[in-house]
Amino acid sequence: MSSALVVESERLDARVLSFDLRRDGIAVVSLEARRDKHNAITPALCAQLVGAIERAEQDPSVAGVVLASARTGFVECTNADVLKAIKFATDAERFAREVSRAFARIAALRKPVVAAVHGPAFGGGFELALAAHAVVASDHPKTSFALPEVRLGLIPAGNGVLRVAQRAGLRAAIDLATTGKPVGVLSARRAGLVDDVCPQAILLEAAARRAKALVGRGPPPTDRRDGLARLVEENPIARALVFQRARRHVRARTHGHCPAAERILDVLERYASRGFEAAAELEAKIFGEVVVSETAHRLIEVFFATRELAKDRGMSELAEPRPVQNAVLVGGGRIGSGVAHASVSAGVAVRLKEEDDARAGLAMKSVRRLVEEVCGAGAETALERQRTIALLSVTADVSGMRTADIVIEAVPETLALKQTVLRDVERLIESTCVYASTTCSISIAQIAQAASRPDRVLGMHYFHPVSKVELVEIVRADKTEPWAVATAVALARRQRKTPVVVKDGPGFFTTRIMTPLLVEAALLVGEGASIESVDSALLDWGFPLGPLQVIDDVGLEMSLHIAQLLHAAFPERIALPMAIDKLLAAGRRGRTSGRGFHRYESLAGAREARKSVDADVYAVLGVAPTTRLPVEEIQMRCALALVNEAVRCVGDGVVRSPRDADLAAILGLGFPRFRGGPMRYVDAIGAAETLRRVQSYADRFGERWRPAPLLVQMAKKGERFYP
Amino acid sequence: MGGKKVAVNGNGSAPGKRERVAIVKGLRTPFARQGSAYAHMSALDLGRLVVRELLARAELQPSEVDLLVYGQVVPSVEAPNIAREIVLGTGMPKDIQAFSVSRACATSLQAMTSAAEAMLAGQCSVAVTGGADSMSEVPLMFSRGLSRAVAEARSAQTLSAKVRPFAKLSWRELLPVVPSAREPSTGLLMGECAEKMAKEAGIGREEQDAFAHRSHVRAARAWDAGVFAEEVMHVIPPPDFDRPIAADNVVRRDSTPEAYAKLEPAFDRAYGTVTAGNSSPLTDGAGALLLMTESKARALGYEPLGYLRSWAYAAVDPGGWMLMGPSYATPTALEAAGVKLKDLDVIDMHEAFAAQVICNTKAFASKKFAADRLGRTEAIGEIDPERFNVHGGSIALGHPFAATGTRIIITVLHELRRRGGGLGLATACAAGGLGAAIVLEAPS
Repeated sequence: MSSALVVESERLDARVLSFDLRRDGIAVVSLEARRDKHNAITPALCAQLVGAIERAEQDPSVAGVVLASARTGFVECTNADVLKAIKFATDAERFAREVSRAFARIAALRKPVVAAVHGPAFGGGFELALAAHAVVASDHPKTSFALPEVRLGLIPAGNGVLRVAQRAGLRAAIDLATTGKPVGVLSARRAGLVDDVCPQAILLEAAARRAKALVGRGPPPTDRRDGLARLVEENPIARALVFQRARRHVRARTHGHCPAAERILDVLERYASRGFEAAAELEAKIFGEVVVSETAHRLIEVFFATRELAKDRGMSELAEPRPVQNAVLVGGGRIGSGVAHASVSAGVAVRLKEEDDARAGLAMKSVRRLVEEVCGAGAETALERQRTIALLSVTADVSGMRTADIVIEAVPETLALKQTVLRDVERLIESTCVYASTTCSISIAQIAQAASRPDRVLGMHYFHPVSKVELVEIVRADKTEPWAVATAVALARRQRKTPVVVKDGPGFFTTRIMTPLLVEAALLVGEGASIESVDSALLDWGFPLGPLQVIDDVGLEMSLHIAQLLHAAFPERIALPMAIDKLLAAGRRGRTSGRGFHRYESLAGAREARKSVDADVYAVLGVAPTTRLPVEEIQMRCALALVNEAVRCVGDGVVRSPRDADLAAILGLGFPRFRGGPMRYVDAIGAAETLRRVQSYADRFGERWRPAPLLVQMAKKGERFYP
Repeated sequence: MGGKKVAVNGNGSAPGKRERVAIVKGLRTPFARQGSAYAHMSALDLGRLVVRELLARAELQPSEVDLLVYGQVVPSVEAPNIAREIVLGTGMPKDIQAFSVSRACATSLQAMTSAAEAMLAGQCSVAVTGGADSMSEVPLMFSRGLSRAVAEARSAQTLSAKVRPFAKLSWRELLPVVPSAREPSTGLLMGECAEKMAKEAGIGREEQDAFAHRSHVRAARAWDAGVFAEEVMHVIPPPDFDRPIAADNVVRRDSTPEAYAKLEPAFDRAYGTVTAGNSSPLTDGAGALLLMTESKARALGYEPLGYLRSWAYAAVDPGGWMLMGPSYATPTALEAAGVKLKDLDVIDMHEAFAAQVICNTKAFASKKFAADRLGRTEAIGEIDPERFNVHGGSIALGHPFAATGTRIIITVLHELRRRGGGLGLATACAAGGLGAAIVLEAPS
């Protein structure tokens, strides 16, 4: 940490904690950052923490210490602002050592220190709590623990991973630190990370009582592992196996794109073989390295962008959202039932309309399954699930629409059907009710031609599977009123989605930029590239699914339909993928039909069909999979097809900013997060280099690769999307 | 007055003076034979379902509701106050008042009139009422001895003291006990009461079977004609949600008079005439009504199905003819409404047993019954079969105890509307010698 930075933070958060000595000799050290909504671990906090500990040590009237928070959460993060400002590995390393030293002072205090945790204790906050001699947590559903650093491409820097390993064992440390997932109070207690759980109202008292009980008895033993864990971890061979498995898992999940997760395993392996001190040394060094890595930079940028977006209205106009209590969903297929689930989970009563009882039953079943599957970090009980499900009612008629605040239509993707539904429903709803279509490709203005009130019609494009994909593309047509947009944005946020407002047009933003990629992948197969080579190239590049897999999942008819639609809008740029045509003619309709680019067999007992290579597909396509294209060419042709179209969308104003474009691509399409999004990617390799590559494909393949005008302009002027 | 006590409420002969209670909408689930479609649903599940659907179809903001009165006859250990659980489990605002009532087979009538009383007292203006039962979920009990032992053990301090109470038990006391359907006061089963009435009144097997056949024929015809379509919701029961049920599954679509003759008497093998065929079956189901004061309904823009004109309850000695409640409650309710039986356009009587319905209809027509039992000079009146249980009754449609009253109210009101408005009577007998009678009116 450069000293200038320290001085500045100190000035900004002059006092970040208070020291309060109670009559019973317990000093309550309370974190209360004034500047920020959340407490964060900063150099200033560390310095003041050390000061407080020293005072507790020297003052004979202090018997013990309770560490608490005066904010709604305990400590939510290591201050990412501080991290962003770090330029050199040595500065980061110094910061890590400073934090570790402060925490070590707490652990080494000869008077008992008890952390009283209410609300999220994430990252440095969790590490701070772990440094105390005991942890008492509130039973509030929001109270949870996590080491999310890995999600920013970092590793925890306050020896928290080591303390988790000490208390709960290696397995728990590996799980927490390599996934970044939060754990609720009850699982934390079971794992030995929390010593006591009580209601929030008496949290401070319970912590003080525990501190008093520990006075004069020395720190309690930190090892709370069960017998089996101890047995495994003390055996070098068993330990080696644990790490081997962990590394394999991380690799399989990240395709090598998350060095931080692997480095965390290095730290833990060092801890297991050579102890706390040696591991802490390595941890600080690695922290220094990863903070300045490209991956961490991109991930931190995405983190900040997401935070900014969460406050964005999505438009320049000021408009109050209308409150949404009741939603009607027309259509309960996979998108419809997914949206129904997201809505009831947000406490919105949903009336789901289907064509008949059989379909309504299917929708009900899938919503119920989602409610049972998707559990938050908190201890979600059967009762809560029951309450959530009770918000859903299904119907095969049109009753019960008048009270709707929003209608979300999720019927099959044809204009005529969508217009019919709109016409039928509009007669039944109030004038203050928003009408949203979940179409992924049909222009909202076109659908709204059937409306008598087009001003409240917009698009809410959800992605399959709705429960996992964070993005909702809010599509605003020319006639859509700001209040309708504001209402949709607010609802999406309540559904725990990230809304991005885009302009109406063919394929909006996400479909428009994804289609060139999928078409390119199909064309590659038509040129004789093998299906596996295309899919695995893109997996290696960082996409969560291969493009041909995506086409199979979406369905070949749907994929072709979308390609045709965009071809009609942009005939010179969007090619028609003959490969899909041919497969469809052979009755291969994708995953649902058991065959597409791959073969799918449903196995008894398994929920997901098993995917396998299908050699017959090449005969249908009339090619032999013999062309051995370099992996880089496959990756570049697919990725740049998307990137070039995305730049065009930014140029056309389809998205409101490069930030929106990046987040929509990452959250909706699985564009590799560690690359920061298509715009960040252009910035990283430079507009000129991007243009050179696109131009070279344009020379080889013609019109469909014509560079986006904005790209040409930026290359000429040497501009960037981000400062 | 034959040892009966009558409770009565009515608008007297001058309707319109006071605010009327409007029945805005009613809905019920299909009724399903015990353990069939709703095998995995409790009374509470069914109640939540029908209340939520009623509110959705009424397109009413749940925050408008002031009160929910609900009932179930088979007691539930898990949800002793089913009404409150329905409020809390359907996403309704949590500040809605709720209480549960029990009046055996007249439970949902009681729910309705209790809410109406609150409305007439000016305490609320919008209420949901109804009842649900699921025989699929009858709680098992343990013997008194075992229960006592568990209680003793719970309060004991030492391990040996905890174990000791169990040592005294006989093996028989360890077996679970199915709650008895016998009347606690007389030790008789309901069917045995019907049997007693049939024998003493001299009602033969053929007469009972013919009535049951009539009930099934009328119910089947009503279903085929779509009469119930508006009254009955569709249910898609868990756990698989793949077997939607849209109609009562008790109704015999192919009822023939001969089929009834083949059945064995159910309660008296040697001399009995009451069979499973001429009795109402054990059934699962739920129903709900939306009530409003007339002015509130008007203010919210609803056109009510009809109005509550008067009601009366009666009680007789369960050791006598226990199921004669309708004959005692009806004259009082009619009097309170200021009308005669012949003024009624539709009469619906709960069919617990064919024998009970026949006994009651005979009593209605009997001057002697009126004089001896009711202390009246005139008979209640002769029942016109064309206005009586026109779409069948509990024998054919099924009888989820706490839902039947609501079913009858809904059917009477819809039938009155079909007939161009008028007056209707809903009446039921109930265990313990209770009877209920409700006079309804529907605008023309």
